[in-house]
Amino acid sequence: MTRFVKQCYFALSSLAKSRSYSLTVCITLSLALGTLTFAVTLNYSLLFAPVSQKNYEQLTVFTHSLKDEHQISDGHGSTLVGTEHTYQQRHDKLSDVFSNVTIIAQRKEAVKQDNTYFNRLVISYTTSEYFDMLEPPMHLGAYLSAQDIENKRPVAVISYTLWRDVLGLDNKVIGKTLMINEQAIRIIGVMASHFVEPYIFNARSDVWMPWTFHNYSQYDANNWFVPKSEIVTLALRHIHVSQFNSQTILSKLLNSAYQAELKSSGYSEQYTEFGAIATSLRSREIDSSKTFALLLLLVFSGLLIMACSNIYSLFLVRVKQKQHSFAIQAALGARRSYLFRITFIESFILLLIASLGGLLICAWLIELFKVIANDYIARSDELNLGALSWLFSFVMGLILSWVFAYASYSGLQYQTLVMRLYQSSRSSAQSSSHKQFVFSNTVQITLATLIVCAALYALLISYRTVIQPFGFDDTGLHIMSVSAINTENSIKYNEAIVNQVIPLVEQLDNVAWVQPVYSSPANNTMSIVLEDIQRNPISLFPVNYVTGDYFSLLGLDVLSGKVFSKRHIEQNDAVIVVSQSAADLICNGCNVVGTRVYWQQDTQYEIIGVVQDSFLPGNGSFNREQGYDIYLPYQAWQRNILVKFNETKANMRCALTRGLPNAYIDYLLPVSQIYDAQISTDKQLIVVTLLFSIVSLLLAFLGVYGVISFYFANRRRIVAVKLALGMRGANLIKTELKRQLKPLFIALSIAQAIVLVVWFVILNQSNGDDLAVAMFSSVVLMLVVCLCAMYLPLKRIVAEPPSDIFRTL
Amino acid sequence: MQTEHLIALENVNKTFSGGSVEVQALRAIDLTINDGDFISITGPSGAGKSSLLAILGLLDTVTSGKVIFCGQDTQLMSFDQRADLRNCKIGYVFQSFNLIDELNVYDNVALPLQVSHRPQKPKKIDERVKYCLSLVELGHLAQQKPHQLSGGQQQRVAIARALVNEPNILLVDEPTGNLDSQNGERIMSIFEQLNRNGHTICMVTHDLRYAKRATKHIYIADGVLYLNPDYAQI
Repeated sequence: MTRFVKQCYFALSSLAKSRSYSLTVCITLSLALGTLTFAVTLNYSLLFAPVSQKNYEQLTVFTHSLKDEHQISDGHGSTLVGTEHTYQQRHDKLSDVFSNVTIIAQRKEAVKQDNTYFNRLVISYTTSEYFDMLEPPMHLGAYLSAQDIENKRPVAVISYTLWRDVLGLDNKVIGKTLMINEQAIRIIGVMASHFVEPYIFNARSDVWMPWTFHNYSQYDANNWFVPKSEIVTLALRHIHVSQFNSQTILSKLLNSAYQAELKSSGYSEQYTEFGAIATSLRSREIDSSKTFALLLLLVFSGLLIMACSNIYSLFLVRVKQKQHSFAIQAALGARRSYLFRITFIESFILLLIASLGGLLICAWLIELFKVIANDYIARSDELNLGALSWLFSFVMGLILSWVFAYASYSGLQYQTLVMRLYQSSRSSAQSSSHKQFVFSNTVQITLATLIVCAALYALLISYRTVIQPFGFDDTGLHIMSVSAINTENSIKYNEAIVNQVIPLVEQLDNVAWVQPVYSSPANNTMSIVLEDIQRNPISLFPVNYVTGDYFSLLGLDVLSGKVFSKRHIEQNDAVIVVSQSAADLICNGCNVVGTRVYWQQDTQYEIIGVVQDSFLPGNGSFNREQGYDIYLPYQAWQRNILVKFNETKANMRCALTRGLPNAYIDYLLPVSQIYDAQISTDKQLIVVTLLFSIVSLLLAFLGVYGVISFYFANRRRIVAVKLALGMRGANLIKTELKRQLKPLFIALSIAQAIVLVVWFVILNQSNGDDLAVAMFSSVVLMLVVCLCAMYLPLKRIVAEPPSDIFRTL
Repeated sequence: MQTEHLIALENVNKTFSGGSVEVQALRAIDLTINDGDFISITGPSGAGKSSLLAILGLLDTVTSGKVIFCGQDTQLMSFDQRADLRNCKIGYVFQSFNLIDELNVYDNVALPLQVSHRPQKPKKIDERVKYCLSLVELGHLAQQKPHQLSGGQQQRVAIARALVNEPNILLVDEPTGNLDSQNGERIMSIFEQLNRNGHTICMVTHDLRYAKRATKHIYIADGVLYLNPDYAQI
């Protein structure tokens, strides 16, 4: 034990003397191990971690849809009638399939307490079975009971977050009331902070209320053809019933109950039957994020491999430097196992530090991820630096330390090690070393250049996505949505609100202009497929409904034709205005004004004008980053208002609330904020890309530096002899640099050729502007790094007296 | 009854290959070394002196022939067995000392005991290192690093290191080659004292003044070994 401690002490002191080496290894491996540990933790947490919820694997989410003769569904969502029918049959025809069934509908509602409106809260309307099945831990009070549901008692259970953030951790909250949809609802319970809510609708509930309070209309309750995406059935399958069987049985039940209704409807030719779609709760929660998590795992595994290949070069340099010391110890009788042990101890210390550093990075990434992804990815709040992360990090550290120690020790060649102590001829070794160098350096620089080029390209694209400016001045530009408090959602009522709000807002001080629109210019939420006159699809375009003034107010120039007139709006004419990029896509190089296109139905639309691109990046599937926008005449059913004002948001809210006491302002948000929210998914990818690019660049540079340093560690003797023979330091550096430039230029040329072949031949891309920038930058960067990697070790060797170099050889 | 030699070389040949060129360093060498011998090996540069010493010290292997150490054929031994023999029974003093710069004098001397397959107790190591340092009169420099010492002092550290494992034989390569006459004389006195105390010493040197002070003399030229040469002729 004492000997082991002493060996550890020697290894530590030796590493402390080689600070730059130790730091490089620790930082690189910390980064690589930390990111990979994060990816493993994320994957485990999402895909494999046991869930505290009781019977999690049997919990199944059901939706219903109509199917055609090819069993193709019309989409997803549940009808109110089918959901309630399923729920009613839970103790009867479905008792052999499910041990319990509940319904959940989730909607945003306006909630008021003490005459103060909260921002709209997420309300889950459900039954008492929800609580029976999930058995959520309660912080205060009790669950909703079957009597609460049956008797339509105005009671609610609230989330811990609502209790903490909005109700100020009030311990006497039980019995107090909230005004939800103008109705006083008594709080009877507060969920515990550690309750993990099933993440079914991509939003976390603030309030749970009895199902009987849902305010769907009677029309919804009787109509099989109005699916609601916010309603699902959550059922607890019997353990012996498979998910597929439960789906089949439920489909049969629904068909037997409603087939006659379908046949008598006008849809019988189009649809032949009802179908239930079963999804396990686990799949429902994680399917959307599974690809992302696995991709992350793949990327970070690749990074670790790159890091390891680079660190291996550094270990070789290290062993080369310690070869003399090893040879002496071998001559004094040290066995191979002893030499391996001391190599391993040093490697283990480095990897232990790297593992701890990696855990710190992992912990930071977890916190960052929770902030970024909490609202988008299910169970992200369960992510933590648990035993698995620690275990993985240390096991990887142990394995890697063994691999590095073994690989570098193998290069020692124990058999010939001691002979070096008395043999003087090394010429053959040097000549093979140069050949090895030319090969390994060419390969390493080629790979590194490819990685740098890819990383720079990814960075460039990410940068463009985030930074690409608006094509208009967004200063003070806000989007707001107004609706009535009682959420009856009457079109006429909302229309009236809009008509009241616009004149009111126009009268306010500091308001430049007000426009009714369908979407914010930063977030076109609707897209349509345009077809040419032969009904061939052209592309999917994001669409906005606007007035003619919209373009001039935003400063988007009319490039040809005209924009919507009042007559177009009033008569709801079939006319379209398109952006320049969209026009190019529809008819490249020709004037599209007057061109007729189809949109879904049989109505022909005429393109009447082309306007400047708004150059809005965004969701790639909508082609937003290319500026492909189309505009349709504003229609009265939209209730978003675009307003430009030079006033604080709070003041504007106050003015609106005073002027419109019966209206609820859903949101009043800066366009830039909407845009930020819109690209939040892109931002996640950009964070990953950025991290990947930075680590890749670092690893690529480190790899090149390692190989070149290794070469110079081998050439120390030759350099020392030249110096001893009187060669000047500057001349020596110049000569050595010239010697190394050849493999550098070969490698850079090979890398560029590979990039061009991959881009133009394999990927068949035609536009290479960004690629050219990335290629040029990667060449410049690699030249700088390689020259530094050559110059710095040479400068250090030249600064040493030759006698010192000879002594350490 | 046959006497067991400490080391016996039987028809040993050693050839170095460098590409297409082959150099025969040792040719059909027969040599026996017994306990208590003080042998000097002399010869011109490139004659094969250091190669012979490396073979005696089990640092190198022979191309053909046998190397018998304490009755055991070392050619049949594994790397580890040879390492153990070097560690326990041989003390080797290199021409260029080969001290480890990162370690201080004390740790350099203690190294053979620390790298041993069967490590001794720290207290025993400490006693042994201090004793060996006192033998070469360097106890006061135990905490110094090798580069802080003179050539003579470094040579004495190397001797202390060679003695620390109480070897059966001390193999010394050009012990005075890098030293002035005063230091050379001092080192030779140490060897003579060690030999009087029963240590077996085999010393490579090209300084005939020191070679003559050994009790058994070997001359090598072109890889061929001559016993008890006429130094006057040389």
